[in-house]
Amino acid sequence: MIICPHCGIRNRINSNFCNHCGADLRAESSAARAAERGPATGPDDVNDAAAESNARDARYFDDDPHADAVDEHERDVGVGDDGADTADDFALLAESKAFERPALRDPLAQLSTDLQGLLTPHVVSSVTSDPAHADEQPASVAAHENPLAGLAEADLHRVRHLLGNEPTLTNAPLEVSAVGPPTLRIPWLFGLLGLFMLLAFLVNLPDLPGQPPALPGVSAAYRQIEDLADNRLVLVWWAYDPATAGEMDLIALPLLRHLTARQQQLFLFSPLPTGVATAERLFTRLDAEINLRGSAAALRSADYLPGGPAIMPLLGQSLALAARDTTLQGRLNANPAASAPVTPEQPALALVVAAQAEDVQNWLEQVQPRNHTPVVAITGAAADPILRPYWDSGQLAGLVSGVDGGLAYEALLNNAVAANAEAIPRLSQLALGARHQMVQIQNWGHIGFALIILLGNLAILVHSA
Amino acid sequence: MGKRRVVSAKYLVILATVVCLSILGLDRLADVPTVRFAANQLLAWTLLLAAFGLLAGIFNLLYIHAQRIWRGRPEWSMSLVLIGVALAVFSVGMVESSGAFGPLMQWVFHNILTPVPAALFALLAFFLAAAAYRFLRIGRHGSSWMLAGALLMMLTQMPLLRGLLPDAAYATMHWLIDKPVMAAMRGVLLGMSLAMLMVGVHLVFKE
Repeated sequence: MIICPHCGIRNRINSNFCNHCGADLRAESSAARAAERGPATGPDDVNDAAAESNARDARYFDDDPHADAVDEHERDVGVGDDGADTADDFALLAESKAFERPALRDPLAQLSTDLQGLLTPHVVSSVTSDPAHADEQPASVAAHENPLAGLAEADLHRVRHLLGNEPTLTNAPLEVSAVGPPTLRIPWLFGLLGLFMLLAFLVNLPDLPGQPPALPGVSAAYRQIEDLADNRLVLVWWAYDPATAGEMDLIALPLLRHLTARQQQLFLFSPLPTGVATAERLFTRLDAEINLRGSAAALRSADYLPGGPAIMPLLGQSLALAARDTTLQGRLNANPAASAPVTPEQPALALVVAAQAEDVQNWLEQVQPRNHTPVVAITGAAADPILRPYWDSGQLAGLVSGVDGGLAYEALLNNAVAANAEAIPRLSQLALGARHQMVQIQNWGHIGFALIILLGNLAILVHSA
Repeated sequence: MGKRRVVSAKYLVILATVVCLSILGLDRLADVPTVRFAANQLLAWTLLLAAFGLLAGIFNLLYIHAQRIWRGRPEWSMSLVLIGVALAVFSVGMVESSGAFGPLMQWVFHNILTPVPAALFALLAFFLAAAAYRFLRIGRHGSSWMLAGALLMMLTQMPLLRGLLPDAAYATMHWLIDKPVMAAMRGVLLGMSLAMLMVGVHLVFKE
């Protein structure tokens, strides 16, 4: 074992750095190995050492599985090379492991302890001011001025203590902040936020004036679907599950309603195990909202595609292979509603329905360069800032994000319905009411959220004044 | 001999990696039918591998939790619930003739699998409120800028204030998203990609 010269913690032989303070132990380690082997005084000792080394090497290259297992274990625990006592090393290893994982109750202290493993170990051990060991200093260190040379022994101990342990501020003057420590009154916070949303849900709160901001990309998405000829193949990448369905359903519904009205053929793939069921649930809901049975018929194929981004290029190259269905073309041609059979390899439009921006980015990187199909992204509000530049650069043919984006798309559809320009089914009154209530809840929730932040800061300002 | 076998296996892994990279790279760069066919086959194998990985993951999960129950480790009762629920849903899927699309499985999906994650996800609003209240404070180092940015983003997207805020606020919001935020995010993405590339190269060629 090696005793760290700075913090006194015992470390395993062959340790390069101290487990506690990170001090350089390479010199001590080699000295300890030499001491355990003993002085090689005669040719017999040299021959014994060589024979032992050869035997050890031979064990690595034989076919004995037991020997391999033992060697593997020895390599893991760091014994065997130096001939050290195995039991002693096991005890030391257990102590070392126990020390590496101290049972710290404070999470911040635990985090700090974990982060220490990422830091570059300092080399204070090589910068000793002890004249008795001055000749042991490496040349690179000796060439420089020793920054600790002028310190007294007591101060040197304090430096070692500071570098080897969590710094304590008992002797340091405390900086009194003008702002007191934040007091988190969780029940009040949650009560206020919940009150705003519950009141909007239970009580008929007055409608808030104003319209959600119409972000660019919605009308372009509308035009993309509107300009499609009937019975075209639309590829749908469905990358959200029930966890985010509360937001995503409201965004996706108007686009699916539009696609259904235009009698497009949707081929859906999902990277999530529950993605297909989520999509089918939404189509069922769409049927109920437009008082029409048959929107689900637009869903020609729905497959779960495991593999994540690694499998996405297949969608850009061979849909039939991705669907594990070589009769995809035959099924399309057999469809009596398909007046103009489409080629599965060339979708007319790709619809990426994803709660997170990464799925859209993966599609633009892995699929779109292969099939050159225009992409319309339907995403959650959190993904909008990340995807907005893709819309600005023209990589996205349309971007509908957040409940606001879904509502803007809904408004475009309703305008078309009102103008009787398109044969788009009307939403039921129940569906319209549910949409309206959802928007009101969101608006009141926004106000509650903003109030929490503003009132919190106001309280701080008043308190500090 | 064992070590030599390991070394040979590593060379084989490196060779397979280089071959796959070459095929997929060529397929991306040039439209050659032979290469396209080979790339498609590789991708189809990936599909199989992923499906197998999924199964292996399920068995591994069951094994780990069964071990936890057997050894009576802390919170073993939660593992028991996990295995019980997994077996119950599996049994429902196997018993029904239409498999995952049968009425009972649909009931499980609509009434358990859908509302539970949605309810958990909805708690995010409360978590965000608590975090915002704690960290978006005047006087904390660096948080004043974050507070200003968060308020700007939030207020400019509230329908209630639509038309009340000056146009400069909306222009500033769009400029922030398009320029500094995007530059920072792309920098992070680029850094992550390079780091992943380097880790991959290190893993393959470290020996």
